[in-house]
Amino acid sequence: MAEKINFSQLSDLFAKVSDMPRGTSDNFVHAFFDVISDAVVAGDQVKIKGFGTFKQTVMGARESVNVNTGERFTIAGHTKVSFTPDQVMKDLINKPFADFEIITLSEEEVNAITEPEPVAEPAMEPVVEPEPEPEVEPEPVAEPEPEPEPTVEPEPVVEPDPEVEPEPVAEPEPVEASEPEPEPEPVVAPEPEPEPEVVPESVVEPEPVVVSEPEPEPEPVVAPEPESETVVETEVESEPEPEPVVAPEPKPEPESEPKLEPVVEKKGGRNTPLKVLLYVCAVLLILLLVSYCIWPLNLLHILQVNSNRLERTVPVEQVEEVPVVKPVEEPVEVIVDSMSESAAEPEPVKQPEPVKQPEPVKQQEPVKQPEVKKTEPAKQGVSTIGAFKLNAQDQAKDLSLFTVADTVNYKIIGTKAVHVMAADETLTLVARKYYGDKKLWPYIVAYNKISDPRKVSSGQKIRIPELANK
Amino acid sequence: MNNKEFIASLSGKSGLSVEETQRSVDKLLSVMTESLQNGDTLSLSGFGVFEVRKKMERVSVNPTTGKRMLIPPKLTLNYKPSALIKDRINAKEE
Repeated sequence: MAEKINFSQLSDLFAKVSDMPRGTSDNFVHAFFDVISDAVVAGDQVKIKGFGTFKQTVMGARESVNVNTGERFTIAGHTKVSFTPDQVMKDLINKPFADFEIITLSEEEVNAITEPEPVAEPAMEPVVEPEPEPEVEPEPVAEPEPEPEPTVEPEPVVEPDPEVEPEPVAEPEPVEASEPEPEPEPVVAPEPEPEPEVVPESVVEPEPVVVSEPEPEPEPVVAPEPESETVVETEVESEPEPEPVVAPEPKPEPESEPKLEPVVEKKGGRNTPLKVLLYVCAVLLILLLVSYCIWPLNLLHILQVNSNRLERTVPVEQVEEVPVVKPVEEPVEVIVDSMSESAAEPEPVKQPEPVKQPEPVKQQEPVKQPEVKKTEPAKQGVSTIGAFKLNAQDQAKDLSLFTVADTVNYKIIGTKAVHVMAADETLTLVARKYYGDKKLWPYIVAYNKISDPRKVSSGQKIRIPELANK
Repeated sequence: MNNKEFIASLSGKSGLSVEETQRSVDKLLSVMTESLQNGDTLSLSGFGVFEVRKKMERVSVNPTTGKRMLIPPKLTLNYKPSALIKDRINAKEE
């Protein structure tokens, strides 16, 4: 098994089978491969029945990027030797796997393949959850710790069993390989979200106490300093809100976790097929918790803000909106701004850091600054953004042109040409000739309604479809 | 060069008759196939390496219909030309 067989060993084996003397068999084996290599080097194609076809394949020059330096360079075109085993050989080699067939997947099955992944995640969950616990211990919240742990453990135990069992029945290897990768995301995501939601509550609670003290004091500058510890905590904790991914680690909290996890346990344990419902419920719960947590924040801020702080409610809302709206629209604007105007740059830098605005302790100064900065960008935005939106769109188009190498993103809009197949010409070669990309051959197949793309006779006329981006 | 021409050329080189050559080639190929099926690697210096590789199963999308298909795992025969043969080809072009 898995030995390396060289010329002399092959000659030995061949001598035994053919009853040739050792010297003759050795000569024959060498002659066999010499004839092939000589013919291939001469530019000929060598077809051997029961083995396959050797021929030269021309590789066009292409551009690549040096992984280490990021420099672009061109790989010179060269010729390589390709070997294509013929069908007999392929079948012989693939004999152990010959029973497998291509399966057309329905939507449900595609989902099933992606869903099972969470089952394998249990390994991931314990890793993520242990982190928050140690952090929680030093802090006053002692009760939540015991509860989350027992609940967490049952989840991985219950989920993996039901899911793993049904899948392996069909194809053990693929399931294991594909599941672990995609699944970890959904499982990890729901957990972190509930935590951040809870975080605001704890954050909010400390705030009223701390803030109330500084407020009576005439000097806002002095107040924040002594309480810097709490301020820092609140800042750190408030950050998680915009960034749900980071949030999970800081602190698991008693109220939200117990609610979520018991639900997961019951449903997951009893009804494995209802996992979709489970996830939907979890997402809904999370959304409810988020909105629930955000409300008290706003209310508290409104209470604290009073007259001067009425303005602050605005920034708070903006902060919350930022993560949702900006990722979608701003990236384009930011790129344009940074490239075109240096004046506009402050926007992207300050906006991504919503953390600074939520700081309630530094009362008037920080609050007003963000507002001023935001109003400026907004006004400038009308002029600059309006002026550069065109550029942004152009760039986006260019980018899409460069990045859309996918073969799925084209539609057929007409006939480009009619091609007469030459001998030994394949549809991939035709596709490369007309589109510069051999991967687009399926469009030719579809356009000509060719039943078997492997059997296109020479001299056959083929209509080459004109393709356009979808 | 098709199979017939190949056998003729080989018989001229080996001194065997065409029929004997064809029979010998079949035997040689069966020997090679057998060892490849055992998972062995044929490492032929000056020519190249024949190796059986396992392709993992994958989900593929038919670009024209958009249907997703589960392509099963399979074993394929791979050939990697030796540096010698590559040099001969590229030297000839220059």
